[in-house]
This record gives sequence, structure tokens and C-alpha cells, in this order.
Amino acid sequence: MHASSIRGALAQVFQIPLRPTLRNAAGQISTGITTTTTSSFSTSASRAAKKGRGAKPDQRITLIRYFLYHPTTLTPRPLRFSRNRYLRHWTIHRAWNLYRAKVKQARQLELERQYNAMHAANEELRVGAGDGGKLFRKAQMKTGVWSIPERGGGVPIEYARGLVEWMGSTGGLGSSGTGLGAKAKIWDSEWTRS
Amino acid sequence: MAPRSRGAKRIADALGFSTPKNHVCLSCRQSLALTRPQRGYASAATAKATVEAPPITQLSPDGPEASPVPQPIFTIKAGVVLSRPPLITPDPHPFETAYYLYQRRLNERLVLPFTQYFYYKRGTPAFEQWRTKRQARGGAATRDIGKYNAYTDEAWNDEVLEGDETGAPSKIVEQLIADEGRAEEFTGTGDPKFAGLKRRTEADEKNDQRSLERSLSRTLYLLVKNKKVAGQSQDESDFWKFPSGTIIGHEGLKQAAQRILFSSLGENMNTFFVGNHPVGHYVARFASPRPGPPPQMTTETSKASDSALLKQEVAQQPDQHPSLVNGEKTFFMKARIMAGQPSLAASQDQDIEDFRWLSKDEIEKAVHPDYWVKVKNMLATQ
Amino acid sequence: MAESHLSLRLARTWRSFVKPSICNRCLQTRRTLASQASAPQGQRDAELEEASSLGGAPDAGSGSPVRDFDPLKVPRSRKRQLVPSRYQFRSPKYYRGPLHPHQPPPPSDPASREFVPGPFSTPRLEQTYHNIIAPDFMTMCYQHTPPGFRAPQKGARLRPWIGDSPYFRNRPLRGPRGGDVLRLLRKPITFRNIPMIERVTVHSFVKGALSGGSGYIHVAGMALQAITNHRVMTHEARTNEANWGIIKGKTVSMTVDLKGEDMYHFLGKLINVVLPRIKDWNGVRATTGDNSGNLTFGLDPESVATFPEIETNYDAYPGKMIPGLHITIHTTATCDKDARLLLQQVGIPFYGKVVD
Repeated sequence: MHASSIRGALAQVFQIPLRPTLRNAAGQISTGITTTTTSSFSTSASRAAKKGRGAKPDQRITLIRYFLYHPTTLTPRPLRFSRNRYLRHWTIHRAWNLYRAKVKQARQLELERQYNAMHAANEELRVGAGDGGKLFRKAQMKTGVWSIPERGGGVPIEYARGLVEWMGSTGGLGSSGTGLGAKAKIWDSEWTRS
Repeated sequence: MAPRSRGAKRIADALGFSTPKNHVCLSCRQSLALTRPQRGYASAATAKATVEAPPITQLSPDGPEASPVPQPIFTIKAGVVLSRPPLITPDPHPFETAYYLYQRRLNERLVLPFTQYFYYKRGTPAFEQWRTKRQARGGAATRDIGKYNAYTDEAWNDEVLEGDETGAPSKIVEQLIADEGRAEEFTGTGDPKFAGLKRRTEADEKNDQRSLERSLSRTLYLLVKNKKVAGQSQDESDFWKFPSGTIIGHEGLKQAAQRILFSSLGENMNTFFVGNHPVGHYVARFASPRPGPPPQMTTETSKASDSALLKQEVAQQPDQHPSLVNGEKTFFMKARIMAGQPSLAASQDQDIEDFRWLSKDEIEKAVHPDYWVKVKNMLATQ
Repeated sequence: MAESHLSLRLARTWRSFVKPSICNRCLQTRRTLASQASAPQGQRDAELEEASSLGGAPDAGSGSPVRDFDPLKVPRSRKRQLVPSRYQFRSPKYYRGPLHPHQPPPPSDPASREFVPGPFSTPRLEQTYHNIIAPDFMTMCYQHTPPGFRAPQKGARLRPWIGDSPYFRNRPLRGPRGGDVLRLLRKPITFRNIPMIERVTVHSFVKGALSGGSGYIHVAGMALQAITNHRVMTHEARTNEANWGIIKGKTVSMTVDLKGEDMYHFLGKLINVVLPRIKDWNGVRATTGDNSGNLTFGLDPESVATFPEIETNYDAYPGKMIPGLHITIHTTATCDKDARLLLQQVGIPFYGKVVD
């Protein structure tokens, strides 16, 4: 009862309509609040003014508190499935797990394939290049792999171009200065080594 | 072996079925018969064993060096597998799409309601707009679950029917763009329904294999076709290859690969070489020994530890067999292109006739079958 | 009964050796084909239908029962409500041990109290990782070992207590020299142990809450919740600290632990939207890390305000109360240099001295 009245008061102050169940209560409380605030017999305001702490707490904080501790009249409903629906759900769940496992295995095999190719090539370079392993030793130097671009190693920042779902037709990469109507470049073909 | 199958084996033995034939299935038997029609199975097996057994003296670096038979001489070449990584996500599997919609609707049944007054002040035009659109969606706050309200009595009906397009990514994007109503600002030359967003480009439509804007969801590899050199067979010049060239002087594979790439296809490519070591190799044996490039690059396959002998051989080489090589070994370096484009006009060597950007399954059709077998394992499928 | 069983078995064995389905050789070649060959379809496989069940059957016209099925028709035409089921399963509120007859269902079961729906999408960053980053990371960190090579065995890292003292007997082994910490071992990177981002911890120390009341906590909690899509966990000060004005028992900070889909979405926003817009930002200091592959960096309040969720709704937050963040990225790498390399590939720049 107490909590709901507070909520009603808050809702009135910030003009938030309450849930249907609380609407009536809100109407009653709103009148009460207006009377208390306009009442000249209240001493709280004058006391606050006297102490020099006139700064009221930010309204936005109150609002954030309100939304953070959300009114729970419409909280999660439990999922109640019929038997058939439950079986369908179970089938979907199993199918999904199977699918994920297969995708994962395909990725693993792909990596393994590349790794084996790399291993074979390096072994061939070590043994079959016929230069006493000089090329192999040079190739195995790891200088700068774990460094950063600033120190002349690592991965350049241009490398980290993540995947996107869609390519735009305007703006974007390389459209210089012509604004929104510019034709987007998906690939910067005119890049030149300066 | 399970007892039952052991029993079956015994029965088979007793009935005289247990010839070696029975361990080989029909398809294998046919293939074996095709490859070695005149030999018996035993000899086939021994032949196979000799082929498969690794020549240990060659493989182990510390083994005895002296082998009286002259080793074949190979040209060592460096190649570049320059690839453009995919730029857009692969097309989702229909099952994924359907599953995600199913889970989003389940989530809608379970989450706390959306705090709309935190995001839209009451009485503002934005709020009114939001509210009308929300009502048009059937009351759902999220825009990716279609027309569904989890707060009604019919909320149990959250599964979509057959033929429903609600969960398709293109449908969701279309809906969002229509919601936003600012499509013409971004459309440009594209489809106004999607505000110019696209997953296929003009290069896709034209199948422009020189363009890097083609097949955005696949890894594209740079392949080149070399100009015809006198004395080369038809086979070699007709097929596509990864750019490659011989190593000069004391340079390593990476330097050689960089030099070859930039000298033959111009410098205007922003590339990143992934690692200093090769990711794949290709060994070609010529049918007959050919005159190779200068002897500093052609060396005999010899032992890694035995440098004295190597030097001796290298010193002897010019007069012994005046740069005749039996084959070539190409070691491929992995590189990523991040900007720029190869150009034939800017190349210094002018030895390349044409270049193409191909995905893995297109490479299979473009290259020589033997070459494909050697290189396919280092290429990414997607 | 037994007779029929026997005959059935015999028939089966007979079939199995008269017509051998697949021989060993075949199996081997198939194996290599599957693993080595092109597999042009990639992730697609035969068991899964290519067409979606939602795509619609080709022969189902407008008059077919499939098209006209309306799940709401029968319930709507019903005059009275159905009699509720007698049996309604309720998951137990508390786990009472494995021997209790009333066991909770697994969390994947919708009847479970722990059931959480999801995933709802495949994050782009995750796809980037699997398609581009992981193979390149494997290539960059590849260490060649000849076949048959065995790394030399190192001595045990924990030393025994050697001496005559009777207290050394059965005493737990001594820690390594120079400290008690057993560092993680770095194994050579192969296709099996490519590091990936495991989880992200977003932490915010709310200094204003020490003197300015709980409003700071609430605003920071709301901001973090909006950014990360998760409820925050608040933390109280454990000790008094006069210099920093920390009072024991007072709420001073909050964390969010992100995993899976939420983590990837958060990192995607961070890398593609927030970090590029920080002015005069060099990057993350390259010396960051805890020696076991977890890297931390901070964001000031101005950059936190550029997260799209806060930026679109900036008026709802008191501007001065938006918190700064510490973001810890936990990777499965066992040393900082691998983690740094991974994050460079993901798109986080580093600057400064490099210490390994």
C-alpha cells in the first residue's frame, strides 16, 4: 500500500500514467499532493531555505531511481507450455544444439586443414629447400609479431575492419567532402603508397 | 570386436568367404582394379607401401648424407596468397533465422516491460510518434519480432506460421527503415526500400572478377595469369596461379614475396603479411630437366647440417650441370590486402597478362587440377 | 521368441559380410576427404534442410490446409475456458540435493526457474573472429616443430623442501623462486588453442557516491545497465580508507560481467562507435595486463556518454553523474602478448612501451 502510493505520487509528479490497476489510486493521490505543496503551513520549504540548501535533488535522478526499480505489475509471466508445445520446444532446442556443434566442428576442421598445410610447407622448407635451412630459419624469425605498430610490428589498425551486415550506398569509406549524397566506396581502390 | 561380429567372422571363415577381397568394399575394389589391373592385390599392397613410406634419408636432417644417386634440383620460388577478407557477414542459415525469431519472442514473454517514459517524454511529438508505431506493431516495444504482444491473453500464440517472413533480416531492416522514415537521405543510387543498404554490388551483377567489391561475404584471393614465355608448355601459361617468382640473393621468403607482388602488380596496395613463414607450398616436377635461372637460386636438395658439402656442390654446379633444374618449389606467404588495387599498368616487370580476385570454389575451376590439389588446403572456405 | 531373435541376428551378420557396406580403406579416404577437401558448402550439412520450414512449401496453394491454418480460430470460438490441467509442474524453489525426489529440470527447460531465452543473433564481432581473426592468429603465432620433435622436459615448478628438519616431511611443495605466484604456462598455439575473448568485466568506481549520496550510484547503475544490457552488481567498501574518504560498508562501485552474445555486442559498440570518437586518444597502454591474458583499460565519462544508448537519451541522465568505466577483457590467452595481439586484430590500438 505504502509503496504503491509513493509510486503513484512519483507518477503524478513526472506525468507518468500508471498501470490500469493503479490509475484510480493515482488520481486520489494527485489531489493530495497538490494540496500539500501549495499549503502555506508546511515548514519544510522555509527550513530548507534557511539552511541554504535550496538545491533540490535533480529530477532526473528521481526518475532514474523510478525506472531502475521498475514497477513490477507486469513482471515476467511464467512460461506455461502445453505438452505439444513443450515437445516442439525440446525438438528445436536439440536441433539448435546439433547445429551449433556442427558449425563448431566445421570451423575446427577448417583451422586444422590450414594448420596442416602450413606445417607441411614449413617442413618442406626446412628439409627440401636445399639451402641448408637458411630460408627456414629466416622464416621462423618472430621479430615484431607481438609488437605494436608504433614500434614497427604488430597488426596495423586498418586490418581490423570488422564484418558488417549491410553496405550503405552513401557516405562511408573514402567519400571525401561531398556529404551524405556521395557515393559510398566499399573498397578504397584509389589508395596509393605515398 | 563385439562377440557377435567375431561370430560372423568365424562363420565367414568356415564358409570360405574370408579372402582378402572381403575386406575391401565394392567401390574400392573397382578403383583398385582400375589403377592396377594386371597385378595381384598383394603386389599392389607392397607397391602402395613403398610409395607411402617416407624416404627417411631425405626427410631427416641428421641422416647420412652420402647418396650416390644425384638429387633432383629445384628452383625455390616465393609466392603470395594475397586475400581480401570477407567484408559482410555470411548469409545466415534459414534455421538460424527462424531460431532467433523464436527465441526473441520467448524473451518478449519473459522480460520486464520496456521503460518507454525513460526514453520518450510524455506529450512530446516523439512520444506520440512512438506510440502510434507501437500500436501498429500490436503493442510490442521491440521492432524485430513482428506483430506480437506478449501481454495479451493470446500471448501463447508466439510461433510464426509457415511462409512467415517476420524473422528474415531483410524484412526487419526494411521495417526499421520504414519506421525511421529518413530513407531518402541515405538511399543514393540504391534501393529506397532498404535506404541504399545492400549485400550485393554492381560488381556482383556484372561478375567483375577484377573488382574487390565482388562477393563481399567471401574471402577473395588474387590470382594472376603470366604472359607466355617461349619454351613454356601450353599448360603452364593457360592456367591461373598465385603470383610467384624466384628468390634473389639473400632475401627471405617474406621480402621476396613483397618484392614479387609489388614489382609485378604495382605498389598501390596496402598489404599486411601474416607471419614470416609460408602457409602452403607447391612442388612441380618438370617432365624433363630445363635450363633454370642463375645458379644462386637453384640448389640441390641436400642436408640442412651439411653446409660444406652444399658449398662444394654450389661451386661445382655451373660446370657440372649448367643450371638444369628438375622442378620448382613454390612457398606461399599469406597476406591480407586492406586498401588499394593491383594494376597492370603500374607494374615494373610487365610479366603478367591478367589478374583476378576469386573465391575458393572459383579458384578450383581456374587453376590446373594438380595445382588445386596442392593449394586448396591453405585457402579459407568462407 | 528366442528362435526369431537368433535368426534375425544371423541374417544381419550374413548381410553384413556378404555385402560389406564400407571398408576400412574407404573410411579413411572419406575421412580425409571430409577434413581436407574443399567442402564447398562450408557449414552446411546434409542432415539440415537447406530451406527454412518458414519459407513455405512450394505446393501449398492458397486453399491448402497448411496456408489456411489459424491457431487462434478454435480458441476464439470457444465459449468457455478450457478446464485447466490437473498437473502443473513447478520447479522446486531450492535444490535439495541429488537424493531428493523433486529434482529441478535442466536450465534449458522452459519450466526451469533458471531458463533464459537466447541467443537472439550472431554478433558480427564473433563472425569476424571465426572468419578472419582466428586463422590469422594461428598463422602469426605458428611455431614449427619437426615431426618427432619433443620439447625438452623442464623441471618441476614446485620445489620440494630439502633438509633435515622434521617439519619438511609431508609439507606442501615450495612455490617457485622469486614469489609465490605460479604463472600460467604458454603452450604453442595450434588450431586447438587459439585464444578468444572469454568475458568482459565492466567496472565503475563511483567516487561521487562517497559524499554525494546514492544518486550517483543509481545514475551509474542505470548508465551501465543501458550500455551493457545487464543488471549491475554493486560492491561495498571492505575497509575504511581515510585518504580516499572510503567508509566501510558503503556502496562505492559496481561491476557487470558480460559473456557470449552480450559481450560481443558490447565490444562491437565499443570498438566501432565509442573508441574512434575519443579525441586525442593514443590507444590502450601496451603495458596493461595481469600476466595471464586479461587486459584492462579505462574510459572517461565523456567517452561513456558517447555510447549510442546514452547518446540518444542523454537528457535523461544528469550529465555530471555519468560514470567513467574500467573495462577488463578476459581472454583465453595465457600471456599478455597473445591477448594484446588478439585485441589488436579486433581493433583496439595500443601505444607506449611493450613489456613481455
